[in-house]
Amino acid sequence: MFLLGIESTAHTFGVGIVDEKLNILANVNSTYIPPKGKGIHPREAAIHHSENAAEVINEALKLANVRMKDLSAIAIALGPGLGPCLRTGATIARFLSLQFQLSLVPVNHAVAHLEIARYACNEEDPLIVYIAGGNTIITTFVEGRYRIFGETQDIALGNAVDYFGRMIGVEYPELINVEKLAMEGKQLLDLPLVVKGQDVSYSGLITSALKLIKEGYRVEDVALSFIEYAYSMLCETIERAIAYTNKKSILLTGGTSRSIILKEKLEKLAQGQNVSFKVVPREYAGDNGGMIALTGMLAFMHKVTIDPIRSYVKPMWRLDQVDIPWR
Amino acid sequence: MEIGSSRYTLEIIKDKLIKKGAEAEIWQGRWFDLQAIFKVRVPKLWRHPILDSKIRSIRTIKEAKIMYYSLEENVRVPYLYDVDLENSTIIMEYVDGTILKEIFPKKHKEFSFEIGRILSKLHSINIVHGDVTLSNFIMLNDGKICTIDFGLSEFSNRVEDKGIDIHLFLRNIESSFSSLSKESFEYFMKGYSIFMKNHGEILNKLKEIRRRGRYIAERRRVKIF
Repeated sequence: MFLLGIESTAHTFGVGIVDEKLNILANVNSTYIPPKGKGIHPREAAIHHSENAAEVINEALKLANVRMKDLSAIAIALGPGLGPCLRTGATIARFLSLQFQLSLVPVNHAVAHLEIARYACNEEDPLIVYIAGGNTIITTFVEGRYRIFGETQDIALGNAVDYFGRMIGVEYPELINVEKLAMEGKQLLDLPLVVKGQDVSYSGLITSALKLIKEGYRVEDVALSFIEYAYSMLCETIERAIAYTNKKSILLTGGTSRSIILKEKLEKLAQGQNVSFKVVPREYAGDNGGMIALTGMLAFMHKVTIDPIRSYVKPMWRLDQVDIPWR
Repeated sequence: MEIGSSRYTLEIIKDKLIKKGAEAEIWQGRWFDLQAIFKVRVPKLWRHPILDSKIRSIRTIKEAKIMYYSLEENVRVPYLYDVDLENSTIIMEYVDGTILKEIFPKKHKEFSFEIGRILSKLHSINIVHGDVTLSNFIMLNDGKICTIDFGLSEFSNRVEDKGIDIHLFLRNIESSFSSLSKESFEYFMKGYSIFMKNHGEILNKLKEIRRRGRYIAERRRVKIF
């Protein structure tokens, strides 16, 4: 039994293929890279997806050595994400499902980031920190669902770092380049630290950091301060979550898990709290088709399917709205 | 008396770690002739050292201030003995009594009323507790209820923050004593209306808070409204 999963929630069009033993046979991804200094334009990204879809699907099939008629189901990330991008992927998935008479499996993009990390790191019940361009979530599994212990009240950590990076003129990938600048910083400047209970907030931090740049402070020092404050806010809520939930491990997933400085901080944090710390492998860190296929297979094996005619996209589909029958 | 413990270390003994939270350690010991609690905000290695000491000292001052203001308004909290900024430590009274969580079902109406009254007083002077659980209230031997752990407290006049405080109380009762939650809430609100003239506004906010997405699961389990 094979399943093909499609990811198209934001800048990446990805296709993954899994078998019934949850082996990921293919994970092919094509990412839209915005013009220098710009963020993702949803329509431009959607156009990229429709132009590259056929090639990515064919490559994945070839890599997995699977034909369309060998498949049992198509999994599609229906949300959360950018409307035009979601609709492009959903249209392709519905077509494949109807044309080849395959079951259609709805997958929540956030759940997929969590499941791929658990699968790849072999973790049964960790505290999961999911940080990316669109999400900053601290979560554990309780009674059938992933419950959100803490999250961002406005923009996501990845989004904040990328935006700050573009505003000070660093090149793609902004995360890595902002951190490079930060490592050259010497002086820690004053910025707002916004931790509200278990939640964090990043919008005010960006405004304040950009103000320091305008006031003529060294870019390296502002970058250092921005990164220190942003990560300290997150680490604090993670530490609270560990103390509260008594979980024995921290698992980091999502595109922003590529951060070098945050990983260092979390290693120290885990040591201090006497828990283990693991990070999702690089190939599954950013958005990818493999994670949709894997999660789709878990759902499909528990009879989660959707009628193509009712398979609307859900741009605001929250993580804690999804039932997880396989755990 | 000078702030900072170095000059009378001989009279101050911090000898037994009784609790290790995410942010602070709670030690038991002696302060001169008195039994005392030492709340120590420990350094975090993952934080930049300058940011770390800044955060620890700001929060220590704020917590002590909030406790002091509460005492001034006759809200029973542990008496402050000393604030040692150098070690970001608050030294306070050792409170002897029973944690409300252990005896709540015995007198849940009275306790709920009293917690409502305490929060009403705190909210009326724009202090929100931030961690309203039954573990943070202690019944003293004289029958009075003492409120502890102001680690997440804030000065705030926002209706939202006050609503969150009540939500925390409700959620705690629901998870620990769900069959008593309806009655407890009734008596809580009686106590809460004593000092809070705009308790209706806060109640509306509470309803809104509980309708939010992230609390869907709780809403399905228990119907308070």
